[in-house]
Amino acid sequence: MIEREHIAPEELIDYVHGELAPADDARVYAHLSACTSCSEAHEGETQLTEILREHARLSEREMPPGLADGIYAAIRERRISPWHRFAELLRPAVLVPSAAAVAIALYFGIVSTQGTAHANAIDATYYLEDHAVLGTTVPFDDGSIAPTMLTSDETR
Amino acid sequence: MRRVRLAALAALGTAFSCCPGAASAEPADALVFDAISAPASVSFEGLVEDVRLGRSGAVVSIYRIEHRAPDATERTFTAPAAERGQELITRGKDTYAVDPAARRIVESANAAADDQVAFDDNYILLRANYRAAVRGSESFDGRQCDVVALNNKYTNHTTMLLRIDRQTKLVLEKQQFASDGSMVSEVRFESVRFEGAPPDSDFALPAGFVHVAGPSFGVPDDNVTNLIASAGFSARGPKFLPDGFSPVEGKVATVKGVRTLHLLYSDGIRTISLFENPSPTGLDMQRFHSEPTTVSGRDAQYAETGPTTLLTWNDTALHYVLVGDLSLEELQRIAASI
Repeated sequence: MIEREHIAPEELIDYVHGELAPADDARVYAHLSACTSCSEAHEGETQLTEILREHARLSEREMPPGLADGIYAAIRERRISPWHRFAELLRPAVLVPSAAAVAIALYFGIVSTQGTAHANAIDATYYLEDHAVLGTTVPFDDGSIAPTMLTSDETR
Repeated sequence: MRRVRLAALAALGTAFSCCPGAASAEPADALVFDAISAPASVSFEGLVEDVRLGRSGAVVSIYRIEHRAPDATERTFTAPAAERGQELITRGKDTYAVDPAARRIVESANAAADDQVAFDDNYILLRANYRAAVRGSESFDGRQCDVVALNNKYTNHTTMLLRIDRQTKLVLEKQQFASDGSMVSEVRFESVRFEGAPPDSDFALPAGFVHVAGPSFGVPDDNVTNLIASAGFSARGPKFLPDGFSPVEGKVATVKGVRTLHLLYSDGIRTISLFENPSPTGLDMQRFHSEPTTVSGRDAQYAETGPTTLLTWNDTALHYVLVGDLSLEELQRIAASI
């Protein structure tokens, strides 16, 4: 059953966004643990969601119109022979900063690897918000999740 | 806003009021019921001061509110400073956090807003655990109000004090108290007006803003036993809960790739959430000042934001988080029973 009937794309999207009813959610969860194909599709959908959210967040700081086109145009106009390109790399003005950049990249690469567990940790704010959300069914609750919602990072 | 299954619960209210010795409570019970139901039928606008007091600090919000019955509300914040000018527009289960400075709208959905069974269960718990008593009447914000106390039947302490507008039954002031009698929160109206339903345009979203998908809160399940069974890991419930608390609803959600079970317990006014997951990554407490403590000899972390408390710990199999309106000692006792 699990191997024959894959999860429909629409249902997978709802699953990623937590929109399924609990019984359907449990069924999809069980299927994903046993189906490589659907598991890969789920991973892809999760990554796509993160990319879209990141894009939406970054879109508030877009570059001025035409700037990117100008940069690409300048690159296209600057035609340099392969030999000149290699020789330029050996100049101290390029070589020293490049070495420094590699060293910095290595340093931060190591640091970020060590910090991966922290980056993946669930923000405590999630638990407070989720508590407040289910608490809206309690009499005399204000129906507002304002303080954390307004200040929270939507990409969390 | 509250939507109570009116016919069924009104019948329940009648049944309660017919109990021997409950005659004097009838007006108070009716007032409480009407107050819970009022926002579903009364449109209003005014200014709200919302103060939540913790052991070491307070969270204060001041906002202008415009509500159109049954379920459209706009809140425009003037305090705290970080939220000044921001708006929360709620239309049914959908909420839009509008940030004019960043020209951004964060959209979120709360499916719990449609959970009628949980609304009803919580009301029944309120009736079972609290005795309503009219303390008198007085003028509040220029309007005649009935003052109603909700007293915990186990401790006899007043847990909530309501000032209910006599004409519309809207709660104009709500004070909540801890078991030691200290106030933990106060929500009060100022300059409230009832001038008919505001137009659609008052709840419209501004044009030209970036729309961002915020948290989406899935459909809760009122069958907690089934929920635990379908969690996907060996979930556990507490053997101890404070007097009057019962499981009401819950859900399973995948958070950062980690399947997480959320169970909500309530006594009709106060709530506790228990979260469990098999997370190897732990909890990010950077936004909070947490302090170390223990649960059954295991290392744990405790934090507060206003009156809301959070306790987190691990055992050999699972990661746990308790969030609620209770003291550290009460949370530790619940935690130790899991």
